[in-house]
Amino acid sequence: MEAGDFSIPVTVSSVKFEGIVHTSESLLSRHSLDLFNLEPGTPFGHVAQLSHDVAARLHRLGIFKHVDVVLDSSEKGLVSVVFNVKEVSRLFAKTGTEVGNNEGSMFTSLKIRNALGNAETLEANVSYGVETNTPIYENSAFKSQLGNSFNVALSKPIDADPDKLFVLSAFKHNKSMNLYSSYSQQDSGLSAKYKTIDHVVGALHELTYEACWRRLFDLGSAASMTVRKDAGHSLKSAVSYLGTLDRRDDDLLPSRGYYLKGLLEGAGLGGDVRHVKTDVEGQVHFPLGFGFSIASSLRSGLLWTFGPNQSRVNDRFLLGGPSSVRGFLHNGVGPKDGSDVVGGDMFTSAGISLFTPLPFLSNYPIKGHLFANAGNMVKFDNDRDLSAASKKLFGAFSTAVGLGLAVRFSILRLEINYCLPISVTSTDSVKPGLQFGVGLHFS
Amino acid sequence: MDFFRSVHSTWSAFTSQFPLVVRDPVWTPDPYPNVAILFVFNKSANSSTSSEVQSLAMQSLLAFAGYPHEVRECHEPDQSPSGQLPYLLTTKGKALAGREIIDQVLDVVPEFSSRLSHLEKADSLAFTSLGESVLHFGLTFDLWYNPQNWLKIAFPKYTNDHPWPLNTILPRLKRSQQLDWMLKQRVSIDKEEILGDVKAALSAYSTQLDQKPYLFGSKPTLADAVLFAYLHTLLSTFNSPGGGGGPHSSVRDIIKRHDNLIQYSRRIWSTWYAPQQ
Repeated sequence: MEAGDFSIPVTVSSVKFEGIVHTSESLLSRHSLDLFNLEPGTPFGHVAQLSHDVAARLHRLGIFKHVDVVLDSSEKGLVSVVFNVKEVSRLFAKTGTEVGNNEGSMFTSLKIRNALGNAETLEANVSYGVETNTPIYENSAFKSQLGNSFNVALSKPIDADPDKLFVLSAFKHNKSMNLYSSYSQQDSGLSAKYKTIDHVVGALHELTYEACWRRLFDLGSAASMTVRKDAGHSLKSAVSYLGTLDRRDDDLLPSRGYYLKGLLEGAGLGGDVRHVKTDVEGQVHFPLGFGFSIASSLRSGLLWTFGPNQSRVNDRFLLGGPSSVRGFLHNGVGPKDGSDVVGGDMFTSAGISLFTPLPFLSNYPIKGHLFANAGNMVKFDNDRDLSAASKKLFGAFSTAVGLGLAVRFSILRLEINYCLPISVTSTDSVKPGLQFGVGLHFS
Repeated sequence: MDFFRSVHSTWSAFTSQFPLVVRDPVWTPDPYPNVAILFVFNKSANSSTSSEVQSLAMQSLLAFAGYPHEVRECHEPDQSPSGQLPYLLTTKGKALAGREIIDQVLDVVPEFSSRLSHLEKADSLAFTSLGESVLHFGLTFDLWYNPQNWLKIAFPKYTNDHPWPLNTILPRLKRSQQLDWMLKQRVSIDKEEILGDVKAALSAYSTQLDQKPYLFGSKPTLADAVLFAYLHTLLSTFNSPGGGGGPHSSVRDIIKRHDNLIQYSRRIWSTWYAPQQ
């Protein structure tokens, strides 16, 4: 084609799909509509661009291995758009193991893709995990706690739009919290979620309704009264909104961009849990040139209950660990009753890190890492005095500094840091010295 | 090697200074109670006695022994270390359940059991076991197995403390657990066999009690706590005369044949539980 060919006026005469086996006509018609709605005499370049956009949208549905576009012009002025597709296999099964800092798990996942021909996905997941109180690389005795999870979800794009997803799911999770807090927890419930990406700023929005039957049980004789009085059954019926805007150049080891996340949850549509919970997080990454970059993060949350009852231990926030406040053990910052981590109603954490290139390794995804981070978390007393709690929250922080390495792998980030705690409370679980962190999201 | 050792010791000396600041905790939990607290299942309406028999037995034991305590209501058995109410929170913050409560009472009030002779202790143990097995099975049969009694008496007791739909699911789960327990004790649920055992047990109790204030003399024992709990629960829970379609307890009918047991139950209630005038 020559340069001027893109401005030739054409009319879309037909839209064909080849390679379709299971996908419904209604879904294909919905995606063809934009092409049929083009005015006769539209420039060819515009038709080509729109066809490419439709192909990308179809591919994002997750039901096609590839979507190729061919623009066939058998007659002058007329164009036939042909989408050559190959559908993914309907049944998809996966098993695997995952290993983290202090935990390992194995999972099985079964997915039926394009179940009814409209890009629905029916998915069932089962996982079993074990978490230890000392990292697996340390050759010492450890305690462990088990957990398992079962989840069935049906998701469907709304109006065949891959950017608007409706998900209905049922779940049952069992988790032992005995390493931190003397209880086990069982959650069973249903949720309905609407997920969409807005095209103004590119943020991901999720609106969820969840009804969850929770049971705290398996308390030993040494469990604290703070945990003991929350044991038993409760029903949380809540609506929540989660907004995420991620403009970082890399989600595992970014060097530029920003990340914003906000969660707002209101519980009390039925059930016996009544609260408003909010959790906001922001990260900013600045490149300094020559492979150096600075990262800063800030996170804060508030849990406010209504009615005479205080918040429950399984609703409160937890803070501390290699991916939140380094230099402290997992869930090691904040209120404790004896040896039980009881969580907090308000928290704030912040951190600043300098990432540096390493000699001879500047082309590899491994950076030097210097950091300083701080966090504090408070629990309301019976009088729920927000002003007094805020003074305590911002009055002093648990802080640590350190240096180490950050390595990006394809599916996770690994950090190895030497940490020095600077300021702590007497109930914090401090982790001076070497600390490993493995995960997808770091503050 | 000496160089590395000196570097290591210098580094250790440096890092041992950290953390530089150790502050007070941001939050202080409630202190341990000054007096032990016995958490029992919800009390009956307008009454100071728990509406659940195991809770009432422990409540009575602590009262009879003079063990210093206060009683609080609780509707969540998961708060107990054994998963069943009642449980006792000691002044050292430890939670005890089941046999541990009895052992704790006997440790703190040794004279409670020392008043019995060796033979009486053995008999007391036998009568306690009789109540916990035979009378418990009879009560469970009347309260949970009988569909009308379950619906009119047991279900309302367990439905008020949780929101919908837990208030319909949890009582049904509890009934299922009770029936499972019954089927583990006996191969089949035979009403005549159960009532026959109850008859024999109550006759034995009645004979042992005779006209004495308590089973083993003038002072109550653990066996009295257990017997009173079952008698009071059965006599106060099933009040209708039966035959009119309302809740009815066959075990209660058997109790009513023993006048001394009825008087005994009333006497204990008025001595230890009736509101003071």
